[in-house]
Amino acid sequence: MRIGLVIWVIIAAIVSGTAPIEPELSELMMAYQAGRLEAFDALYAKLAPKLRGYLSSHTYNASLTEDLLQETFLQIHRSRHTYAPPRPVRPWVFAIARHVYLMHRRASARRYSVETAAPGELPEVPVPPAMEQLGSHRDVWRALAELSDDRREAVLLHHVWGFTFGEIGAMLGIRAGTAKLRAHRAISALRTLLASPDARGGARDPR
Amino acid sequence: MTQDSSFEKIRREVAQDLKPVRPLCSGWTSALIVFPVALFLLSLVLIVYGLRSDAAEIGSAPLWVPASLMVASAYAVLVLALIQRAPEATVSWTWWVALPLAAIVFQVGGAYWTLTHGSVPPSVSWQVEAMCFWRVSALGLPPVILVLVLLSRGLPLRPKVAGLLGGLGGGFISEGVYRLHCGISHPGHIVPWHTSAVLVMGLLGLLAGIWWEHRRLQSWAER
Repeated sequence: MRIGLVIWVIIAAIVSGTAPIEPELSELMMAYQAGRLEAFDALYAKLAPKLRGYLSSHTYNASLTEDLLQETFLQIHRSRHTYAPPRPVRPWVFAIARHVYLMHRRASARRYSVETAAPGELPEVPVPPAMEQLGSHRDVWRALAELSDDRREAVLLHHVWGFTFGEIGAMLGIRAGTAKLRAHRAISALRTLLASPDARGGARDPR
Repeated sequence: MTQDSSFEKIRREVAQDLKPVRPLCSGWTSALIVFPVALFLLSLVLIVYGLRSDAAEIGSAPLWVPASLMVASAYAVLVLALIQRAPEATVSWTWWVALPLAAIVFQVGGAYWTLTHGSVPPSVSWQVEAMCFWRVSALGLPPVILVLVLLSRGLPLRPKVAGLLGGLGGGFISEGVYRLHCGISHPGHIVPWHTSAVLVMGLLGLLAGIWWEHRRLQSWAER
């Protein structure tokens, strides 16, 4: 069963052009769909840290991130039948998390920024590894906050969470080339922001 | 709220409703519903209205090929709509604009091809022409409703786009079938009375998507 699934995932990945990953997540997801609670526990353990980082990159607010994470898992539970094995689990999960965030933003009609979060509440927002050498974690984090949502999302999805541009395109409803362009422009903007000492204080995303 | 208490709360809710679920079929598979629906509508049209009066003069290919092409277009458009039931499969705007436009080009081009193989129909009053609009719309309603039901079982993150495509797909099925009865193949008749009916079906799907999104947002805001 397990070997068959792995082979099937690899074939599906080759056909769809995505990396052959996640057979374990797929298997857990199928067990979850079959009604096994321990599969949910394992999925939560594997996915929650990544989703927390992803939601933090949008909200820049630790308590809100926790609320949205909880809502994301509830939405995952209600929509678990929409996962079609053996497709990759992570794009499916991240798409739901994105949906939860966007619904929250629309419903509350509020915009969160790095300034709205109190210093004690700052969540751990991941930064692209390639950027860490350009400044301190906090500088990169602040520079990321200066990027437009579209660019920040594309660069984090690709450089931090390792999604292919095809997967990012499918999640965001854009072409793979557009996703690549956004990520590329985000990296250029980050370099510009981090190269200038003045810009570290809060310059806008240079377009 | 601590991370542990978050997890415990979610776990309790999940445990309360953990019945096994069956994964949704892929969009490619679900859209195959087009063919039995088209066969049903075809039987209906042939029984109630019959084939167009000059069918023998036109010949098989100019009569059946454009109709089949419409049904195939409906399948393609419905695949685009139904793959969006999975939240991670959002379709880029170039696809959801280009494919329906291509289907409309096939519709008008196919009608013109049929026209070149038949006699010029006598001029008829606009009321007779308008009958085509109502019939294509009426025949399109069941497939549109069916597709919207299929869509509602998933989690399309762009319900407006999915609804629009679902509506257009349903409209193309009915147009493909009704084409076999309508005796006027001139683009001057097809565009205002047939294409417009298909677009109205798309509009219906779009409105359903808007309503769905609004309801989703409302329930979110009430939490």
